[in-house]
Amino acid sequence: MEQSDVAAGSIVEEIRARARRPWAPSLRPDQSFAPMVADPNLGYLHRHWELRKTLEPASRRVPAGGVRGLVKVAFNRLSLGALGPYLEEEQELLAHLVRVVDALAHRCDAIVAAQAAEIDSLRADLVELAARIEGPIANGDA
Amino acid sequence: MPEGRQLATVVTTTWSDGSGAYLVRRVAAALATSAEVTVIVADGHRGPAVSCADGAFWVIRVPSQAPEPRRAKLLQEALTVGGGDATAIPGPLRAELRRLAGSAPGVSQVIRSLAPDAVVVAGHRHELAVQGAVQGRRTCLLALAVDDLALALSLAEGVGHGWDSILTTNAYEADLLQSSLGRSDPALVHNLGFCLERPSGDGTGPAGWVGERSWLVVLDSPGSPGLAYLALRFPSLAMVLVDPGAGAAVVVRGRHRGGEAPISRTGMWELMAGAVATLDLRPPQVIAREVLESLILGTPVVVAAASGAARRCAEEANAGLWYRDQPELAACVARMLERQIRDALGAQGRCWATAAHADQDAFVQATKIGVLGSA
Repeated sequence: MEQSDVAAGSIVEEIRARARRPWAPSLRPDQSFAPMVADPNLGYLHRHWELRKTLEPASRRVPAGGVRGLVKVAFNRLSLGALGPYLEEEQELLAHLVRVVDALAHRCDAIVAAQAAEIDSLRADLVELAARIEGPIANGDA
Repeated sequence: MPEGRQLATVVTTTWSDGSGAYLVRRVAAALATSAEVTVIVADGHRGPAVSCADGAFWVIRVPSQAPEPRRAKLLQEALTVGGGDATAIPGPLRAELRRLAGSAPGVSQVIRSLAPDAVVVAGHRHELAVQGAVQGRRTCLLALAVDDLALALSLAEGVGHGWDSILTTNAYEADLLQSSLGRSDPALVHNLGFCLERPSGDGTGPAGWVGERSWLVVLDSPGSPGLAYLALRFPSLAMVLVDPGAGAAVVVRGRHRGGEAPISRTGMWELMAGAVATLDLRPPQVIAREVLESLILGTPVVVAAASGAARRCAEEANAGLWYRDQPELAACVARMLERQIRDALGAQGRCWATAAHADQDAFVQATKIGVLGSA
């Protein structure tokens, strides 16, 4: 007889072993996603979006004496006077961007949570559906 | 009658339809190679006895009464109550079972008038009234057994009447009888084996059929629950449903069912040869003819685990899968859809079936030894 790697008995045993395990859908939620709100980059944005603190100490600092000090104070007042409105606008823009990123992170986390809940619900429905179908078929009603 | 040829008589309740009739004809044909064979048919025929030539045999149909359908259920209940022990059945119930087993009183008279050297009684469920008429002759029972409940009672009585041999046609049946005989002489059982007519087919299918590779599903009832399950699980599975008894076939794909068309045995062989696999959904048969034919044509099979001879063939040949319930049936079908598996199983089946079930000479010799006592 021809040599072959296929043993019918082994295949049947494998089928029976699989049949002994309770059936469950292969669909399962992906647990590998960490929450977006805990992302370290989002934390950095929350800590560093306020830039006024960076400018204020320079403007309030007591200037050093002499010509050099007078020039520095004059330059600070001149540049803040010229760029102040722009920097205020940019500060507001940064604040809004951080709020948007924050909202997006919360929305992403909510979507992932909802998806996981839906998959859990779908799995439960599939198990119940299988029981409803297979019961009558096994009893010869179908 | 040519000088030196022996006389053999075959008594049967089935001669026209089904695997039992097919087996009886095969055994009678093997005997006819060296003996004059007369076949006495007790198939529920009413009216006077009629006789005619049928190929190599002379056939006599005698008036007879078929077994009552409720006998099988009654016997099953009686044996269940008695813990499977046929000798524990009370006398009145035993008499009732014998009364329901049908009768053919004319058989004894015909056997006496023929005075054969050997008598073969085919089937163990019918009261054929051969006792007395067969005394002094070599007497064999061709069991045609598919279950052990009816066998337990019938053979308990039959062995008491002194069979010279009990003939079987496959290893499953031989084992069934050996275990049912209990303390009786196991050498009584003589397994003839079974030889197929050599089926042929090139896989193109019979004329007029679509050339698509399909599953060949053998069944005897269109409402099989296994079929409904397959249609649900594999909506695109192409199947040809064949009822060998009715000689009819239907093409099915999922929920779409074609019209019924007649199919010949050679047409079925063509379908088998080209089939993905053969799925036998029938209850146990005396012989697994369609399974053997599939194997010899190189087509693997899927059968029920409790299908007796069919499962034995699939297992011995290492050429098929067997299932216990519908989910396992679906899993078997899914595995058989893998080309590598079905090709390997098909090749193994062809080798086994060709070696074990295609030797006409060996079958004829075994039949002659089993019935006539010598080759």
